[in-house]
Amino acid sequence: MELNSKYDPSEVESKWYQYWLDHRYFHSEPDEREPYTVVIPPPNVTGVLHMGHMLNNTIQDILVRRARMQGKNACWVPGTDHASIATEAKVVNKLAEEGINKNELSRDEFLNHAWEWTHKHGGIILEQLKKLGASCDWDRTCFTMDELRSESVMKVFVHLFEKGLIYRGIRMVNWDPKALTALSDEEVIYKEQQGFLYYLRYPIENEVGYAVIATTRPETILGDTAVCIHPNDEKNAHLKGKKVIVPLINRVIPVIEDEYVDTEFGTGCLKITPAHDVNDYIIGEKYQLPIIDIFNNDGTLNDHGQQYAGMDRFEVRKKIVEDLEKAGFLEKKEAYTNKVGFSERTNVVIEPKLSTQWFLKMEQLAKPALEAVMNDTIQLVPPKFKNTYRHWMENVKDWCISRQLWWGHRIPAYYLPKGGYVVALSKKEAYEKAMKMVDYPLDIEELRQDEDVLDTWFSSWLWPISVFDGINQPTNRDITYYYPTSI
Amino acid sequence: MIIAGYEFRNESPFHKVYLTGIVRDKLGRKMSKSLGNSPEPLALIEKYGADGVRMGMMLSAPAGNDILFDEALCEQGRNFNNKIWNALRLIKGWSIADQPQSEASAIAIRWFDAKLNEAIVEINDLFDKYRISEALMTVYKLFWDEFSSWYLELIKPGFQQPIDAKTFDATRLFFEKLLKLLHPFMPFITEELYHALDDRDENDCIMISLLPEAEPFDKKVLEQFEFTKEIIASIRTIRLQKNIPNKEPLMLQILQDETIPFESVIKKMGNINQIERVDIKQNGAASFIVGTIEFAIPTGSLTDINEEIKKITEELHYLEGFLDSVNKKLSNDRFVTHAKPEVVEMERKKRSDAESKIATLKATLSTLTL
Repeated sequence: MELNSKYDPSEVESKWYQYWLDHRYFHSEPDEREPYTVVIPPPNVTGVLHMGHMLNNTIQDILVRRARMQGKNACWVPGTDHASIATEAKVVNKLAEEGINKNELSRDEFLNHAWEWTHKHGGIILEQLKKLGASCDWDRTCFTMDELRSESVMKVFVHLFEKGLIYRGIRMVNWDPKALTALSDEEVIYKEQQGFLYYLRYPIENEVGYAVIATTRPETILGDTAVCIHPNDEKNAHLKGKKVIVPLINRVIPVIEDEYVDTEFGTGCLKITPAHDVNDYIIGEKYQLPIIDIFNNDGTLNDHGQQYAGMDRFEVRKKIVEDLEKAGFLEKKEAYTNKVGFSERTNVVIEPKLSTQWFLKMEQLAKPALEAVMNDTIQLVPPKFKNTYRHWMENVKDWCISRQLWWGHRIPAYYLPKGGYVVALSKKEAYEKAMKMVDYPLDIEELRQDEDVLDTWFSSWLWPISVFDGINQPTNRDITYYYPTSI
Repeated sequence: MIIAGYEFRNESPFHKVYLTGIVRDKLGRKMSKSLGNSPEPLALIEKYGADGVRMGMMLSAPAGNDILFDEALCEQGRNFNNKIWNALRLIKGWSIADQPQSEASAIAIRWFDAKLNEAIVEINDLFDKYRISEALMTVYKLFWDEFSSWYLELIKPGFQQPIDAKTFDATRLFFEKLLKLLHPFMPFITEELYHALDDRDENDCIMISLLPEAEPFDKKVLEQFEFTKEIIASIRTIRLQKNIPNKEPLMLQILQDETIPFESVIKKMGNINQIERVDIKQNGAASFIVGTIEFAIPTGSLTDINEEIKKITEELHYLEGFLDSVNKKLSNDRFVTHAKPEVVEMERKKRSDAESKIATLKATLSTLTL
């Protein structure tokens, strides 16, 4: 073969990639050789390649090609994830451009649009990986929402539910008032914001005098159910055992004492709004305070907002400050910088909100995962990340796995007409389970499936197992041969 | 994933977790769409080739540290592709003849075989530690510095001369091994050149071939060759200093009766026509020391000493006359006070330059006339 005087990569690259594909050199089947398995961390199905992917996949390809040339049976499984919130947001935007409002569509209609979008834009990123030279076994390409992967997710949900590790509960979640869904802590970005610290006067009941509290969110006084002081705080000692009145709405609330209060912040006198602040929620639980949720899901105020009902939260902030000032309840305001959480997807301010969600208990599950890294069963490269990992695993909170979206794996819980629910793989199975529970006549059509879907991570975390169908068929030839993966 | 592994398979999903850093630009800023500092990956591939981009990424990516990505690294990757391409073009351009192998070529093969195996051991070790960037650097240097700059230069036949078959076959085998070591990093060009190197069966492809295994190697030959390289580098330095062109053959003297390895290599790479052992070096000979051995290169023999003295004396005369005229100008008050300051400054610089040149020439002259 003669060599051209100049090297032309584009011609050579496409020629050889096709040759390798045609000769199925990337394809792997179990055999007697030592396996070398790599499972691609699935990128978003509708995403495009960025420099981080380039680096990541170059490294994976180097390791896979080297293993292949060491005589190992190298298998690199490609795939994509459905990226629940990101994809749904893109589809909602696209529909909006066409003048279609998501709320006017049925769930099935919306999902048809989402699938159409996925088929149209999906897999671009995998085509881009081919350009990079990635030697993936394309015959094994998976998608987190394909049939086998979906079946795996459902089985895992039922399994964990039956083990008592999945529960339904009311918890404070990061609420995105634009996407109308709960978000995980990882989907919230904190930014510094310039605002004000407002000093407000709460009249003491049946006495002359005030409790002065400082807050950055004056609109939330509508949800106050207590005021809290530090038991050793002398400057607020006169409030002990008293009751105070929430300005404008005249709600009488108790003064409670707890060492949690930082006497150096503001006046040392803290308003407690259990429905809209995580820390207040914890104090509220401790002292059995009532919970008054003043917001609708879209960030406007509900009837608890009284004269402010129907207005947006930020409008109310302005208006209520004016009203407080007019009525003489505003002592002063100071410029103040605080950290505010924003939604990674919609970039609106997150609202801490109490809502009914599905949770996975993590403490027990995290233990073997922590031990494995600490005793080097799993090696981190470079090892300096061990401490970060320990910190994560030791501080793991219960994981909120439900999302108020349609694009994703729908939660397999079925509600009964007279209360209660069952968790099952299918509606038919749910009906059989339900029949054993109820003492009233029940039609299968009366079962109502949960509207929410699972966090995308609930399918990603199974990925190294589910790509070999190891959940559905735990002893199949692929999973026993290829699992665990090499890196 | 680890958690799920333990819950559903009772074992971890992987043995190792490789953490890559964040890709940053060369100023250390995180790449983002809003900063506009994130290059479009496919455009990069278009421009530098996938192999070039892969190499650019890896040259900037130690495990777990943030990588400082600079497009210049992709260019370096592309240049390396061209280097490999041109190396094979050079080799394929040689005609093969039935002729004896030169001693220098035989040594070159012995040495590079050891060098290659030493590198394979190092690369294996680096991969075991997941130091992938460093492994790439090792192959890169092996190809560029050792194979291209030393090995190929050593075995290269003279202009329009053929090469002996033995050397050619060894070279082809080395090239094939190098391609295999490079393949995981730059899959495309290596496959192309693997097929350019030889006619292959349909299923004889580099991507499914086996990597060369590390064979035991001669450490002594490596040490000796490094020693030889130092001698050659010193000879080249002297050529530069004395302004002696490479095509001008020189004589190398070894002080004391020391044996040195690979004289034929020194002769070829340094263009030395004779190596002799002497007790004392000649006057005017340039000397250098490698290890504990002193070497000398008599440069005087090249140029007639009298001729040299005459040349230097003439130049001295000229410079002294020149200095005189500059001094006259500078002692003229009208010039110094009325001319532009930068013009005066220029004359002062001329004076000091001439003075230092005169001093150097006088020193040289005194060694020549000793």
